[in-house]
Amino acid sequence: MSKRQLERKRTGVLGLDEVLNGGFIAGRSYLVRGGPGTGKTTLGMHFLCEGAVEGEETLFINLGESQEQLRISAALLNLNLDGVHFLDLSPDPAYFSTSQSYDVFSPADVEREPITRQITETVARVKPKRVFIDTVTHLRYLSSDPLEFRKQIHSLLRYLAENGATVLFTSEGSAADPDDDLQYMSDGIVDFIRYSNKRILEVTKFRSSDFKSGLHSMTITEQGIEVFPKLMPEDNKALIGDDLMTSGIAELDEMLYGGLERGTITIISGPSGVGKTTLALQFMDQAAERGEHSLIYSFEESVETILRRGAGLKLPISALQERGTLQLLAVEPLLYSADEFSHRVRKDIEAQGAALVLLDSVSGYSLSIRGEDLVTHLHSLVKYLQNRGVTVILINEIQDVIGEFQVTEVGISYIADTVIFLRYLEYRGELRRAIGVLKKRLSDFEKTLREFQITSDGVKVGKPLAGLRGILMGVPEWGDKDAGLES
Amino acid sequence: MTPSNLILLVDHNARNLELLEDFLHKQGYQVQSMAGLDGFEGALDDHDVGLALIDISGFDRSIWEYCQMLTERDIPFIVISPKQVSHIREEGRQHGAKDVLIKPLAAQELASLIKSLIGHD
Repeated sequence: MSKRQLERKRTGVLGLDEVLNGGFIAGRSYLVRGGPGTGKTTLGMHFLCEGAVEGEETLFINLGESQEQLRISAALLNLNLDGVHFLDLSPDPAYFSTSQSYDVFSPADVEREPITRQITETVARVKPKRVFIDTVTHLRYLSSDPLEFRKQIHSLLRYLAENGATVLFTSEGSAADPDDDLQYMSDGIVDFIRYSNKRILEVTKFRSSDFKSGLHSMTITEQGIEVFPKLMPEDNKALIGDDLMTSGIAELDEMLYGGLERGTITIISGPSGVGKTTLALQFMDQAAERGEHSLIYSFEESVETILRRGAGLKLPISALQERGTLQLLAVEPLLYSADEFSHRVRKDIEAQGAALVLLDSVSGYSLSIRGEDLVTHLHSLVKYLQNRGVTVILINEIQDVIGEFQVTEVGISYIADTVIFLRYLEYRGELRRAIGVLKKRLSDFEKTLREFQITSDGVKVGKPLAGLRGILMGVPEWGDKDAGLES
Repeated sequence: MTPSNLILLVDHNARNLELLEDFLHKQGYQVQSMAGLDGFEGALDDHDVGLALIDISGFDRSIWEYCQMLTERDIPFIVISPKQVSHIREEGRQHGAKDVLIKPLAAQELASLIKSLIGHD
């Protein structure tokens, strides 16, 4: 059978279907691992509900929590278990109160047979297409030794498969009680990990199918589990266009030999307050003028601040926003993980398309990364955008106001096709600004710096500062020619 | 005379008694079970007991007197002991037990032991 013909069972969690390239493979058994409270049971409920929605018979074999408890937790997650059959093998309260304990035979001898009988009877009656066993770890105690357990579970899984069921089973693996045997037995493994206060999902094994490897963020809300598959840039392809995105400032476009190529990545770098966002807004404004859609993800400023700033520069941001060509989105970095943010960007782009995306700023974005590898995450996000033909502008803040020059502090300049930098410089006791282009992969560019001003009439870029030396040091000296600075 | 198919079962724990009864019934034996020792002697008088299974957990030393009674009547019996303690094994043998088994019992082993004892008195 070719891979294309393998029937898939959707998991009930959209993002997980995507990670699994369509869902679990029908007739196979999958292990869901993870510590307490990581979402194993919730995933099982999604899986069964999805089956119920598709009109399949589904069976929940619960050995830990009682059916009643499970129904309550499902209701809290807005999952409807009405169509799901239960085989409740959880210990009933009478066990404790009537002291049904025994010691004459081992539990393996006493309990296994009735449990096996109940399972086979129920499967024969319900003929489930989906079975969820929560948790198989309980069955471990009913086996006298590991080999016995392995054989038991193996034959149980085969029995269920032969009866046409796709099986999900959970295990409580810990260092003291490893579940390696179960990992070998399953056709695939979904691992739930809790890392500080983040939830992560990883597929570590998936027989007969490709899947999206790596760590994917997930959340559990009132809507249940949501998985945010890590962006894989190679999934999408688009070409870099020939046309240029102009800034609308003749001098700056001159420096860039026309403008920014469509589908490229630009970093605007500079110290705080020098005008990076303002400069970027020029490009957005121009794009909007041409009727193209732009998105601004602002990690640092509220929508109101940006609007006021635009008004101060005589940029018609509110008007553009009303016309729907520009969208301002304030992002609270602490509410999003990197994958969640990528997911949001992707949804926005796929829903409405955009010619230009501004991320303001890299440091805000890195806050949502929380210690993970910034460069990797940022790389996959911008590559994804680039592959969709979106022009990306990243705002990067430099700590030092003046002093030795640095393009970025986080080593991301390799991502960029174009780097524009803004500098403060001290000139005759005044704080002035300069703009320069450091790199442009796709065309030549002007190597001299120019003065950069933010006035009440908007952004102004002056003539080339050919007469000054040492601008990159922040304290320029007179060269032999006219400085080019406006006095 | 055909050997009796009746097994006398003594166990202080009700659930154990239930499990053993089930087990013996499945093997095709008749079972007379008791949770205590009241009426022990009477049961021996009233029934033709072919074998006795005595779980000594929960009984005091007087249990051995009852074992003695079985020996005197030529009824084979098996002592079931809670843990591996050599003096119980020894004492059990001294009072005429055919074997002393330690809990939890291995079902298969118990079945074949009973079979070998009840067939040949």
